[in-house]
Amino acid sequence: MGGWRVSTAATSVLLAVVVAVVKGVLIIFVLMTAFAYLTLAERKVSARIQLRYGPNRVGPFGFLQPAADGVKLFTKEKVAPEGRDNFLYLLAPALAACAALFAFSVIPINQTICIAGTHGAGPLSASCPGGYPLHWDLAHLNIGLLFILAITSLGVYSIFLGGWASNSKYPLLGALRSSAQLISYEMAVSFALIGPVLLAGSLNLETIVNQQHSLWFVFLQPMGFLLYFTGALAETNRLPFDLPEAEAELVAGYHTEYSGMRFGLFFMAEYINMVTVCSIATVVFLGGWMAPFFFLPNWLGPIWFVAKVGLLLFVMMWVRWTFPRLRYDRLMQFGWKVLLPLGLANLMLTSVFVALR
Amino acid sequence: MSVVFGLAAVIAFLGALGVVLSERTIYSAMSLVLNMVALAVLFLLLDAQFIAAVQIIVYAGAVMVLFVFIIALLSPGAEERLRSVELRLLLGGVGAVAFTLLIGRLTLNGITVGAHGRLHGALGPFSPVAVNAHGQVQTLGDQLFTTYLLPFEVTSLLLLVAAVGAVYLSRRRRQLV
Amino acid sequence: MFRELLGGLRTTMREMVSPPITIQYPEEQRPIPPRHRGRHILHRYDNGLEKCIGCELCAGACPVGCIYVQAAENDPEHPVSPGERYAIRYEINLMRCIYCGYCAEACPTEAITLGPRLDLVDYKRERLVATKDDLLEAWPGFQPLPVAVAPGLGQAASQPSPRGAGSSHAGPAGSAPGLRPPIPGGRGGT
Repeated sequence: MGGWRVSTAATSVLLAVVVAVVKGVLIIFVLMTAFAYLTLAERKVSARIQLRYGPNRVGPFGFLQPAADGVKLFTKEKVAPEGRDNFLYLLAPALAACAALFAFSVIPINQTICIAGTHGAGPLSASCPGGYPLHWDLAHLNIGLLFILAITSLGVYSIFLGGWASNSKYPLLGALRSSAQLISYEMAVSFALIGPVLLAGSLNLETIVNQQHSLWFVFLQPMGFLLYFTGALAETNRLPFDLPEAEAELVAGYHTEYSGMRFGLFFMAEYINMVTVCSIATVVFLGGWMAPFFFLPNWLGPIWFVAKVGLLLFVMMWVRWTFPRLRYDRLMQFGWKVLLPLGLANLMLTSVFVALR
Repeated sequence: MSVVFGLAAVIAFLGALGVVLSERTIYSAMSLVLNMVALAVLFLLLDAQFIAAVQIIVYAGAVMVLFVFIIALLSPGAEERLRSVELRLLLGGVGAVAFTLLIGRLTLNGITVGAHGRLHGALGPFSPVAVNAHGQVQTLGDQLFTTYLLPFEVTSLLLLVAAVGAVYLSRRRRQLV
Repeated sequence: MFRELLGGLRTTMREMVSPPITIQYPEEQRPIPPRHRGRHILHRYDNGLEKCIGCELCAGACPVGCIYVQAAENDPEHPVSPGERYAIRYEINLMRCIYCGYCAEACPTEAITLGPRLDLVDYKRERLVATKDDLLEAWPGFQPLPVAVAPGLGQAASQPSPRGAGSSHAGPAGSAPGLRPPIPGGRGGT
């Protein structure tokens, strides 16, 4: 797959499989833990904004609260509406969680490390003739960015099927609104992401990061970054774009009729999507694993990556508890009439700039 | 690689069967989505990663979403069938045979059998090696804006017409009181 | 438009770095106002005699009907209360009580008042039916009369009362929680 040829020797195939399995297990484990503690972080951040403490009883500073929440979700009674389409009803949260986890598999956390070899074509290259290139993403695809867009567009199904299969009007309305919102804001996100692709000259996420070694793309594409971040808020159904799951209007939107761990899976999918979009923003705009200032050490790649993703997640939570919700028709108008033209303008400006370079 | 091919081919086949044999229309649509995802995997095996991604983005992620919306919201009625079983079998059989012949003819075009019974396809200027060397997106972009520029522009005009038509057809009509 | 957005974000950030105003109960507690109506207290006079004369006006005044009073004749040599009668059984169902204070208003001797205690929680329902032992004020050297109480009643919201020798809370054999066994020598209550 991609630029890495599978050699016919059995050992290299075995090595590839083992490495992939290890990476996969690590990613799943880390993302699940991240999801659990993101829920705690959300509650703590929202509490501090509201001048209160947040969970601090279960374990020091509430660190065992996600465990308690997990136990609660697992042991809840599974109430489901009569007349539902059971297969699709059960498929939807599973599909949501799978798509969310799957999309993270192409995001590189660190530069390719050459084991027993030399970096081909300079230190920023991802190939490693004579040695073994250790890529820090699960799947090193040449079209990494497109892959993520593809998987997020598959995530629309889970929302729509979840709402439709529940045989209930509030979920159906919420699902319709949410799917339409997701499809509309995919445009804004795609246009925002094309700018850095033009600047970097590749869809490969690692190449995009490497091309930011002199200046991060957020400084070259400030509007693109804002566009992407806004679109990402809408893609993950976060406030101010969360009317599809607004408590006051729609009970809980498409996941109204889900209880216990089924709801937990939807919840997990939303938070892991948050992590994924923040990771994409970090990789594409904020320089991925690169240190912020030139004098700071660059070899702490994963630490910088996690710090930047954490900062963006904090900003997402900060925004959620600051702004009011957008009404649905205004939300759609905003996506089509404001973000899309801005994206096109950004694309034109970037193309002109790249052509003249 | 052949394991992955086998798996993807089986899933594609099951998806296709699901489309035709499902009781409920929405299961047919979801089986078609499964089929398309399996096709995307097959494209990946053919080293056409861009096509695979675009297949999922456009087909599975946009066109099929539209289909699923329509099926879920408009609840199309029961399937219409021909009355006689014999006529159905005859038409179906003729169609299947014709289709197989056509696809077979197209697929076997230029395939030669080499050593060890391996099949070699005909390599034109767009062989996988050449395309990957230049870059998949770059090759597509080059061709789209030079050789196939006129179809590209006509297609975009067609899309514009469709969009304008959709906006016009769904405008709010003033009620004549 | 950006100015307003950033202004909003600045407001929330300011709130984020301000110290929270939550009071961490139960480590920190608000001071209780003097007239707060919490758990009931049965008072005594300074000489140790109970103020409650078993008149059952509190039980009559209670809008919920959560007070049970059973009166008994005072033994002239060992009077419990100044008067003819005293309450041999006094139970309040703290779960039903609405803490309105009508019983305190109705009491002619100011025997029953509502005190400051508000943490009335337990894991078993029986333990939230306060008996006279729980409600009565403590008195040094006090020896409670042997009163037959159903096992398990009270004890949850009780003040720590000194129990001298001779106290017994054993109910008659075979009594179930909640039943009120007859008291030998006492007048039947309401």
